[in-house]
Amino acid sequence: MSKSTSSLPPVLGLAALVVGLLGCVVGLAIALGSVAEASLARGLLLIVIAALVLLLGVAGWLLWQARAAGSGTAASAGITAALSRLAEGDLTAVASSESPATAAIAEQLNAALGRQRELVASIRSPFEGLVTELHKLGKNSSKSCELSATLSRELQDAGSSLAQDLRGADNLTTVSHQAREAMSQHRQLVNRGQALAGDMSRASTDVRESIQETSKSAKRQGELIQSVTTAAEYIQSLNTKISVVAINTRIEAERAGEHGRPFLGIAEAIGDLLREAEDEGRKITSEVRLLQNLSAENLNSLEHTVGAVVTVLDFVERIDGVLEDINRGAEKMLDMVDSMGTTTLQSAEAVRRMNALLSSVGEQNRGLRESAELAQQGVVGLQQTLSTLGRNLAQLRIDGHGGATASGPADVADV
Amino acid sequence: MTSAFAALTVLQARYASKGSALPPGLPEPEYWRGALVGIAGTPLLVPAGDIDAVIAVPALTAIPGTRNWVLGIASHHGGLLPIYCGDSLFGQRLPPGRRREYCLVIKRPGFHAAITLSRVEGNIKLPMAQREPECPLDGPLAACCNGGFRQGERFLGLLDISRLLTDGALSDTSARTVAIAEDSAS
Repeated sequence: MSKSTSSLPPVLGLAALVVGLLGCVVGLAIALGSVAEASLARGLLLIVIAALVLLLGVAGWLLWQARAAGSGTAASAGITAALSRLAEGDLTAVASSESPATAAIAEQLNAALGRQRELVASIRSPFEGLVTELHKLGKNSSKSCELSATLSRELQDAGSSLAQDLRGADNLTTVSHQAREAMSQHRQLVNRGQALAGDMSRASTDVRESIQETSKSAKRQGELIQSVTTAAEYIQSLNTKISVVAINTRIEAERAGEHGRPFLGIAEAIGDLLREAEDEGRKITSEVRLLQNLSAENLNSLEHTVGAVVTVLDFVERIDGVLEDINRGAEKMLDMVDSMGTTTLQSAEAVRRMNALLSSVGEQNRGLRESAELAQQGVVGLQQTLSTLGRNLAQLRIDGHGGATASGPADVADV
Repeated sequence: MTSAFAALTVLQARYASKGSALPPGLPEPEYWRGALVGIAGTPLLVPAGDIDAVIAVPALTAIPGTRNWVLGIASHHGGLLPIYCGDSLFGQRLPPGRRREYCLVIKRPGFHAAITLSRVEGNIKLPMAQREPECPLDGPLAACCNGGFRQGERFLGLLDISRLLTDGALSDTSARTVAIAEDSAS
């Protein structure tokens, strides 16, 4: 109201000016009416009067407009206040206007503010979920980094283990080569042993045949000795018979008296010869018996030797069989060593491939880790951005008591 | 020729008259003569005068009821000759499995029998000076020996047939005396 009262004097002045001018013009026209030759000036005067009337009209219109403008300023104060609160971020401001000209503006402004409040509310409500999900994403990213680090360490351990396995496989390959060489030497030794066993078998067979021949000769010798013994015993029995004859001859010679004296000499001579013959026969018999015993012992020894040779032959055959078994076992062991060597090579190759795969996995893990770190950095940046956005959004009041801004900064702080 | 013989005779006479006489010869040693045999493995000397003969063991006919050393009776020079086993009689043991081949025939008045010999070594002549009066043998033969001779490491007992006959060992040849007496009593 004070503004409308302050704009009234200029309008009144302007109107007084226009009325004054209009009075001057009318006075001039009256003055000029008595002068005939002043028709042209009368025309001009009419034109000036018309122009003044027009100016008066314009001044009136301007005055009406000025009055109307004075009344609009008063009406736009509510709108201005609302806009001021809006500029401060208070979306709860309500624009009001009594002026019909600004009422529509205030109404539109209030509608726009309502829409902005709804927009901020719709921004705030997913912003909380976004903060939560971002929090989870940050945690997951951190866990991913830790898991990636753990996986990297485990991959390093697995790589070390695979390296050890590879060295073990290489050592096993070397050992299998050495075992193969040893088994080859072993087979050569076994073959040599078999050859020796064969030679020994043949030699034993020869020895057995020779001993059998010797045994036959010894048996023949024993038979001859037995024959000689029989002959010696027969000679001894003959000696005994001759002794009996000599005894009886002596007895008969003594019975014959003087006529039997020559027979006594004969009997004594026979007795002397018999004693010598018996002595020699006793020696022969003793030596023949000794020879017989020796022959029997030799024969027994030969039989034992034959038995020993047969046993040796049996042993040689067993040794040959055992060597054959050993040879077969060596062949099997050689095959097993070859198989083991092949398996070891395949294992080494598999270990190398696994090592390469582990290296690739390590590289990929490293890339994943870098990506996770980048993601974490991005999450941190996003968190900062969201924090800033949260703070900014917290400055926008969308209700009367500011409840929306209370939860927003807390979530941002959490982020 | 006559002169030569005469010269030699003269030479002999001259040496005989001037030469020393021969020393007296040593007395001829007295020898024991007999046969060396073995009875039951023991070497024994049997005087030649006590031996009738040494013969091979003839075919025997066993006599039932006699002692085990009575092998049987055999025919000898047309008569019957009992054959005793020397091994069982003097060795106090059963006859060995080997059959004895010879036996010593002893013929004395009232006694004519033969004892088997384990060995016949023949005639032997030993100096009487080496005879030993004692007989170191053991067993029944020791009582039938009268000294003996030592030959090397063995002792040869001198078998005295008279002691053998008087010993009484050969007097009883029946093994069933008691049984016969019991049979007759029953």
